[in-house]
Amino acid sequence: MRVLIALLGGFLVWSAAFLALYATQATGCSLGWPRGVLRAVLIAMLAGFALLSLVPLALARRSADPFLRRTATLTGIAASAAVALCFSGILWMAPC
Amino acid sequence: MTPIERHHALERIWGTGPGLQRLSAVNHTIMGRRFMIAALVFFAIGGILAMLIRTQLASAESPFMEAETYAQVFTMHGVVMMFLFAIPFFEGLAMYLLPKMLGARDMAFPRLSAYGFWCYAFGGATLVVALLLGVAPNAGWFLYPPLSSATFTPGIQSDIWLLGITFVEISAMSAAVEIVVTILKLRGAGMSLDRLPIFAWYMLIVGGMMLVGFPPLILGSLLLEAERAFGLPFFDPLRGGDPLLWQHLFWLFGHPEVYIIFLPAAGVLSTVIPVFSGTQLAGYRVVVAALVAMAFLSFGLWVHHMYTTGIPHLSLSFFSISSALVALPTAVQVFAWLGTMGTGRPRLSIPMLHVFGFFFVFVCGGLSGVMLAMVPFDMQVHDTHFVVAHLHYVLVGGFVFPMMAGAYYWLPHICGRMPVHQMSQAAFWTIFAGFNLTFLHMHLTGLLGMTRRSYRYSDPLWEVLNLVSSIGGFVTTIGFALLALDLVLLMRFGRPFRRNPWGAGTLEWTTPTPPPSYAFGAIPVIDRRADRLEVERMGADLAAGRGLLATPRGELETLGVDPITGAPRQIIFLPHPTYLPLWSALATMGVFAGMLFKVYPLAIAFAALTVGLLLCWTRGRKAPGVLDAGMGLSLPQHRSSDDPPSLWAIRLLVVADATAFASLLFGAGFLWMSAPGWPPEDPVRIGGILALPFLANAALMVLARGWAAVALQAAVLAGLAAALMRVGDATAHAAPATVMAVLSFAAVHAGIGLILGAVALRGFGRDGAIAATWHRYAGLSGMLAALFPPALSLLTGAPA
Repeated sequence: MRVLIALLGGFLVWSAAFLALYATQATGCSLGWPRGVLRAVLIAMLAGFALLSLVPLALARRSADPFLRRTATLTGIAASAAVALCFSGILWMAPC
Repeated sequence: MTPIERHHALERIWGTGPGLQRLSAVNHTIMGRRFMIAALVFFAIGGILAMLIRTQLASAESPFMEAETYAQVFTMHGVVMMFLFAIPFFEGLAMYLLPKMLGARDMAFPRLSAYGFWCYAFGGATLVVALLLGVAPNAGWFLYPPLSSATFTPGIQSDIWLLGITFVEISAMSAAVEIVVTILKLRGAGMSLDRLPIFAWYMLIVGGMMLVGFPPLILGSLLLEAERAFGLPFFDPLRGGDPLLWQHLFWLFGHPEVYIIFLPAAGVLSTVIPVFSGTQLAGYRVVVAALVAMAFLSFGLWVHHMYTTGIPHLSLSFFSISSALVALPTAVQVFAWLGTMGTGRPRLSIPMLHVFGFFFVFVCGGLSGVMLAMVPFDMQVHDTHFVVAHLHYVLVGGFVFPMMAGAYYWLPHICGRMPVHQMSQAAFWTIFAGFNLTFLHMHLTGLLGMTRRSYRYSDPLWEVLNLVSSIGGFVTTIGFALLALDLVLLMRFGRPFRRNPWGAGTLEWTTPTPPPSYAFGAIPVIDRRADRLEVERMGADLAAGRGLLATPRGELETLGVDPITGAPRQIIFLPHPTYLPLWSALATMGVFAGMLFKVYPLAIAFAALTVGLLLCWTRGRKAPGVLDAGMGLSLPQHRSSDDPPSLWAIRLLVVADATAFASLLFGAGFLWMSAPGWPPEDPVRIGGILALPFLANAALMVLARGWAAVALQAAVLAGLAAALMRVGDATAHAAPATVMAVLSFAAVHAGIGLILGAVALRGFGRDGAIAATWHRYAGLSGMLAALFPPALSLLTGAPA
């Protein structure tokens, strides 16, 4: 079962990051948080999710099944890249 | 026992009787064929509607149709093609093929297949009858409020969409559960996950996507119907609602839906291309990884249909990048197919002609999709014919062409006859030319500014382009008529063959053609990837009983395996033909009819009848314990095993239900943050009564079995009923309306828990584990629901 978690885990982290960052950004803008504070919170969250997206990769490496190990590694790499790419706007775009 | 004796014995057990007894069929071969035939009938209806649209648009200031008729026609064209053709067609294909590809004798829940089919047929027929009576939905297939709200569409037209589609979606949800459980649990011995035929991987991913993709639409439909029927203002900006909430909920379903439609077709391509290239699929592992990536990324795109609604640039960037990113795993598959053809020797048989049609059309549609993912470009062409052209290139290229390839590939399996290729090529080229003539020009009319849903125009240049499109549309129709004729001729006069005409390596070709009701004389033992099998040898072996469960015992038996390793774990008994699914679907139709005509006591009575009929499904026999499976193997009957398919089904339903609940909470949060008119003048004050359901739900998570669970569910129900009475006027503002929705959601779940708990008290089989799974989920979601009103009061600045 661990390898199934590894197979889906990277993109589950991406999904969680998507929902959390989108919700936090929308809430911060709606409540009128200062721009710097909102950006700092979003960057901290993004860093956390970027690290978390590496966990499924580590899990995949421990699997004994070669097919699932390699497939999970591929999805893990793709998911980590997706986290970095999709939310990169946080670093340079106006939060609201 | 000789193969002939085995065949007769199995046919007596698995067969469906003649005449009216056909209505009691639950067999996957019959249900799969029925789904596909019904879907093709709806495709023909949708095609006729498309011709009416093209006739209207062929000339400027056309007097062919009035605005109201045109609105119904284009709305129903979209509704029929998306909900009544594409999804049911691949569901039917999956039902027909999956057991045969996996080495099982049927799907995991045959009665659910039949119930889903009847719900689909009745729901679809309701929509078509409404069209014939002139009261079809007319607010576009997205049904955007406020156009679709009671103020602007006061009749029953929008109700028909909302209730009819929700009725049809029952079949989609039941198919999703069926497909996932079947792939995970019902396979041949030794078919581990890495040996799955690639089509099964595709359908496993699609089934998972359906489980989390459809609930937001079902929830949105119920909320909009609640607004129309009872005045709860979820989408009314004058009373704290927001029409944009509908767009969010609709596109949370609507965008993944495109991939839900595309992926089964891609599964067909990944199966057909290697066979006709005489080689194996290149990059099987990479394709599986790309599928996982697509499944997730496709959910992160929903706002790319809403770029023009005023969303901040930062959040737009999330959706824009995801929209562009999803092209990568799609491209991985396209290159895998090209690589497969490159390493093999492609034969230009008729299925491959349609594969080439797919490559050309779909790649064009994918490229215009990447253009639309870019925010500035989308702002320019939003809601124009450019978008209409793009979506037709994607859906016809990505679904219709691959499915036509699949039809020519598997029709010999269904009817036992081979195509003769006389008319097939003419039909293909007519469709291909006509399609491009129709939609290539629509990119231009869109770039020139012609908006979708326009029913008249005056620009002479638009008229030339529209006339060309209309001519192309009629050429396409002629092509489809030729194709239909060709397929009928194939079934009637095609050349008979013995086995595996294409030289495939997948299990479905080991069965006789047309296939018998039980598919396999014996359950196969798999020792390699299931698209590299020696079909001829295995076919003869299985017919001769060299496999598992080869000796008929009077029950409908198939093998249950470990989801990862494919090791045999249980013998699954499947149900005999029964009229229960038909009666249950008719009763369900009564519920929707009662709601449609606003005769609510009738709807409640039919709901009780439906529940009663569904409970009749659970009647079973005492578990017989351990049985001989053949080849020296003894296995428990599934009711005696630790993980029967029904337990997997309830887990999957919980996932789907949790998605609906999360969407509801998202909707409430969205209204609080974004809707005008918040905070409400009269805050929601329920008081401490919610402490009872909160504590009872918390206890339920620990005491999830026996009388304790039943008593706790009753306490939850009583507490929630008391709380609902204190909500106040839910029609005044969206705040009390959302509180009512969340508490009602919890109350319905407690009610279901009460029934499941009472059933489990019979102490029979795995009912206790199933009920306990529900109780724990209901407990968790119920606690969140009980916390919702005070949280909302806190956020809106009012004491609870």
